[in-house]
Amino acid sequence: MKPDSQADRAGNFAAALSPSRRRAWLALPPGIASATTLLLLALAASLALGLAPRRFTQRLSDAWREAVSPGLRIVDLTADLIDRSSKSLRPENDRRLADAQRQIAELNDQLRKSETQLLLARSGSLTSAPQSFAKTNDTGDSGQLPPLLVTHCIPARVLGAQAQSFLRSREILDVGRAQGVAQRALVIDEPPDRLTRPLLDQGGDANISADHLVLAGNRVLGKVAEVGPHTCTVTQVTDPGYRDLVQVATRRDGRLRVTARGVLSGRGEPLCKIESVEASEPITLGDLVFTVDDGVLDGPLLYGRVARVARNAAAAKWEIWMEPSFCADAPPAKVSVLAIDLNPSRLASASK
Amino acid sequence: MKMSTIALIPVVYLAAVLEIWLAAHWSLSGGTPPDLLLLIGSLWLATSSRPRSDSVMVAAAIGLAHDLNAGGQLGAGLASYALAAYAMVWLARKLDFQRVGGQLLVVWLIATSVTLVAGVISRLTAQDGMTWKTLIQHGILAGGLTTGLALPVLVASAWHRERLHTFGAPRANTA
Repeated sequence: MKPDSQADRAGNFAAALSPSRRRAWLALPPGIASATTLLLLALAASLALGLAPRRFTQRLSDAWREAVSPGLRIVDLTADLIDRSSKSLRPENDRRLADAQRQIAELNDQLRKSETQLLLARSGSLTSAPQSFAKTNDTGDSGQLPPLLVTHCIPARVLGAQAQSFLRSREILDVGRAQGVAQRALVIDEPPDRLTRPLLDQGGDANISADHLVLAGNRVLGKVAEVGPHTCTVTQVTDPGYRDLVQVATRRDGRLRVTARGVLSGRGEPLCKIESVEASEPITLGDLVFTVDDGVLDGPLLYGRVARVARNAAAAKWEIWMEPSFCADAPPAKVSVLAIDLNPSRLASASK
Repeated sequence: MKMSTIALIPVVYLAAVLEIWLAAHWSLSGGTPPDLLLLIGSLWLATSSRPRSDSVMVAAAIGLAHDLNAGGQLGAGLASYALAAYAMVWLARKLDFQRVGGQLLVVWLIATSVTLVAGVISRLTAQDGMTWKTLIQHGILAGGLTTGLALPVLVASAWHRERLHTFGAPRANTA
């Protein structure tokens, strides 16, 4: 309550609740009449704007957007400037530490890759790297028909955020009036899970199709999800909905032995799950997970390694989680798309 | 903190620009960035020494800026801000809002009621498919967040006022 005197400030409730005080409190304050008029005017304006034709309100909105755009440009420039100066102020040691950490991670990765390749080489039949598939398949055994299907790798680059925004700025939507799209209709962003998918710089023009495996060396990054004229997106092993048949191999006497087969499924988490593996199979931590030989590839491709295993006493199946050979957040810069084609030499020999 | 109506124009413009910029760059968890125009509007109404009838007009203008920034149907923000200002004109003559606690209460009341009224208008005019429960939750959250953001501003303003008085600056209303 606004105090009139010291006695009022102390708070005399009886007086405050007396009918005369209550009447005074509820009485219209001076100047409220003009405020009411202005409120009525504002409400009328709001009603008019609500009922106004879209053409008129759109013009108002456009004018507002134009008025705000110089301010936005200034804020953008300021943010860029702050970002650049904060980077230049960062101590040299921090940068060196970050570089060193990156180098360690790369070297660890290479070491793990070499270990796996060594194991594969020792394991006899599991020897070929994907780069040599085409050659092996083309040759075939002497006196026999060459294989019907051959594989070849299409090299591709994973496009970064800048490259993607460059492409996006040149995009023209492939929908028009025929599909019911009106002028000024909103273009809504893709859902977040699609935005995070890596984009490759090869597409339909390089004969890439959906579901082709995407590799880096002999490791599987994922599968081609959608193919555009010049680009394609990749569903990574960890993405929800990713499924493939896999085999689990364990190290024994310096060689790899396949112990079980299961179904790999991505769940949108850092670890993937391997399902349908019988609890009687000997699965251990660190076992390697490969693609299943489907008669096309000469050697298996590495998916990752078993990171967690669990088994309930009563359950008939293992609960297996696999750590992929790639970190989903940091895909490699260069990859290959494994394409399958009919063997031209086989077709030529058949036509003779 | 007593801000003249003229000084309010660049502040509202800056808030509108920052709000659009934040909407595009906001990466913190929890969704939407703070409603800066709501913060400016409620702070201005709470700290005006004596809200006058023209406060309704100024608040309605901030509401219109809010509508234009939101990019939807115009009118809901304008009406809700004007109604909040009208309520303030009424209440300011009856209650004391000179202390920080009172001002915070006003900011909370204005932010919550403006969000609720705008939400109800949008719901009734079928612009928004929000359920009543979500609408109320949204109103309460917006009120809480705006009050939280207003707290340092109001405390700094009170400290500044106190400092002026300590150094012997003339008081605004002397007996």
